[in-house]
Amino acid sequence: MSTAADKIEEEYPKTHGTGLFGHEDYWAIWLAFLILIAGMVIFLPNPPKEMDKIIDDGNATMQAEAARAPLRTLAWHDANDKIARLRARDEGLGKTIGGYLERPKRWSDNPADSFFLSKERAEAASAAAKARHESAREKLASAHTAARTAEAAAATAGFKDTALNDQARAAIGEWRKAREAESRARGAANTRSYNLVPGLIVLMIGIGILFAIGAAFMGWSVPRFLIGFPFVFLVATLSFFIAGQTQIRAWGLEYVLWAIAIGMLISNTIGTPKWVQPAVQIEYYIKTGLVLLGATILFNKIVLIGIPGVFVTWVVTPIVLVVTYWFGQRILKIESAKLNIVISADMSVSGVSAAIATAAACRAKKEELTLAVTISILFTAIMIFAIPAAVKALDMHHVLAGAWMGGTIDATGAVVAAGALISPTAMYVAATIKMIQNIMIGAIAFGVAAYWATVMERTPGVKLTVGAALREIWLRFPKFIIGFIVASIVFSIMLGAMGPDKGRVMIEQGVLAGLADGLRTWFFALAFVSIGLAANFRDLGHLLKGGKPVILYVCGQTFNLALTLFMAWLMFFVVFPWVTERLMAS
Amino acid sequence: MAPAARLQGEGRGGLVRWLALVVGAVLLGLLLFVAIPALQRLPGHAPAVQAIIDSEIEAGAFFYTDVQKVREAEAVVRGAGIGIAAAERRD
Repeated sequence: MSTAADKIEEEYPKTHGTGLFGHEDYWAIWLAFLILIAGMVIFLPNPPKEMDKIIDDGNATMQAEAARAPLRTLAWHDANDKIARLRARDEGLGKTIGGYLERPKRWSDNPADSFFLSKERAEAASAAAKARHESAREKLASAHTAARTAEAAAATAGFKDTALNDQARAAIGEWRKAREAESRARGAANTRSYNLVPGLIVLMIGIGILFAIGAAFMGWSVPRFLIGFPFVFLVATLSFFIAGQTQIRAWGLEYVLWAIAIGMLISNTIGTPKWVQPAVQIEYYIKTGLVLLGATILFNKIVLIGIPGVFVTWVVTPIVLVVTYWFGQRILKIESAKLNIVISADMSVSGVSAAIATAAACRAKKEELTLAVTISILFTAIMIFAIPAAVKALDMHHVLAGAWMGGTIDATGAVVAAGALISPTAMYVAATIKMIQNIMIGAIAFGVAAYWATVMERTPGVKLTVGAALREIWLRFPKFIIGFIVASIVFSIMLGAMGPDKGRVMIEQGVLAGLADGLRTWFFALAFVSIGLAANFRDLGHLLKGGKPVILYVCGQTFNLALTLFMAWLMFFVVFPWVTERLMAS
Repeated sequence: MAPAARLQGEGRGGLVRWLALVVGAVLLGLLLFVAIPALQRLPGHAPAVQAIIDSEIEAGAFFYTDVQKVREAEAVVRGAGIGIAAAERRD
């Protein structure tokens, strides 16, 4: 008679073994931890020069200015900018490593610009941008003078004259805009030649070897894996290249879409070549990327925008997720509960990242993940422009608009772009709300994995006592989630121990942005190329039958839009109006 | 080696399949270089698309760590002193 453990072993032969070095769930953890430890060794001993002094002096200035004036003064911004410029990844070896993690660059008319820019063309681009830079510098100087004059006038009145304060705030806002424009113009005027090809080859070899180590321990054929890997890497590079085109990028059509599209085009026409197939390892790449993603799930950030932000994200989002899932199961009667939960999660939480985590947690099929992310990306491209248009038509308050956009538009980049179409305040609120929602991914993935282990796939006949539940969870739980959670807890503790400023410099702008984040993006690209190379249109078409997944997304998103708007209004305008006032004053 | 998910195209070949690949690639190229740029000409869209291009925001990035503006937002919101700890101090 077979036991529950035997049955699970039959269902998940690749991910539930006895050894800690025999299965990809564990190798996802080992490889990701290796990268994170390497990051700590490289970045933590090399802080930027005088980091502590710059942070202490800057914070002292900001506190003094905050006590002096009810607005962000020029001195406050200068101090804040000095702290913001500190990044551990700009130091020594970290900077060199960053050069090898570069993805194909943004390009407009000439596709070659994505990979290569000759010295002559760089000089020509610099020369062409010189006049624009000069003009931007003049505007910046003029805006700075105007801001200084307006601030001085407000200061003379002891910052008690509301009209003068508003004028100073507006003038300082204009100076910030001019400063940003000058920074972009300066970048264009200092265009340097580059050739990404050698770096990409080194990166391909490095990532190939990294995954080959695990492959060797798992008993795969390493030579066959390494022969196929360059093809997968090449398609991933192509997907970054397409996503880098300025207009495609502006529409938020990210690399994930192109990785799947190119992969499926190949697999559904000439077929994925046999020599490539050993490197088509969806789960291996995606789980390693997810453990790295865990390190960025920093719980310290949840309270950043206060209780209103917690309600708009951690209260509304789970309600929308559960209601949408229920709607899909009970009303639409979607055949696959896994497809239902993946779409519900990507729509309610944070698009592609939530879809990846949820799909891995419940072991959804590759076609289910493909369909969910495709729907999410396409609707996001519409919402980037539709939601700001609605905000303008309704003349909505910018804090309310930001909270609404942050809570409803799927992808973070799209949220920021939509917010920027309204105002800096709307963008800041939208970006912060979305960041807090991003951090929910850990809890959602854990919850979905536990629900699937104890309810959806529970061994028949097993009563759900505490002991049985724990046993079911241990047997069925995707083990890589443990690495995901450990990474999140460890990095949250480290960030908390260092404090927000030092933690940002050393952890977020060091270990994570300097190494882990770049590799994670490549791993996800490899995973989505693999999904495309392994998926077929027929299975995808079957899932789309009756249009139910699209109906689910539209109905869920409609509910999300209504509930998020109501909660944002309630929290930011009825319960905590002072939060809105402070945000507007910033 | 553990097999990947079911793979298509094993043993396939022939002119028709290669032709399908070429046609698919051409259609993808038309989408990328003709259809998507044409979307910018939709009424009312050009200024919005251009504003996003000019701002250099990574509109396609799906996670917060990949969007530079999030760092700026974090600094501004933290500076507003509205986090829960700040709220407690205020009370």
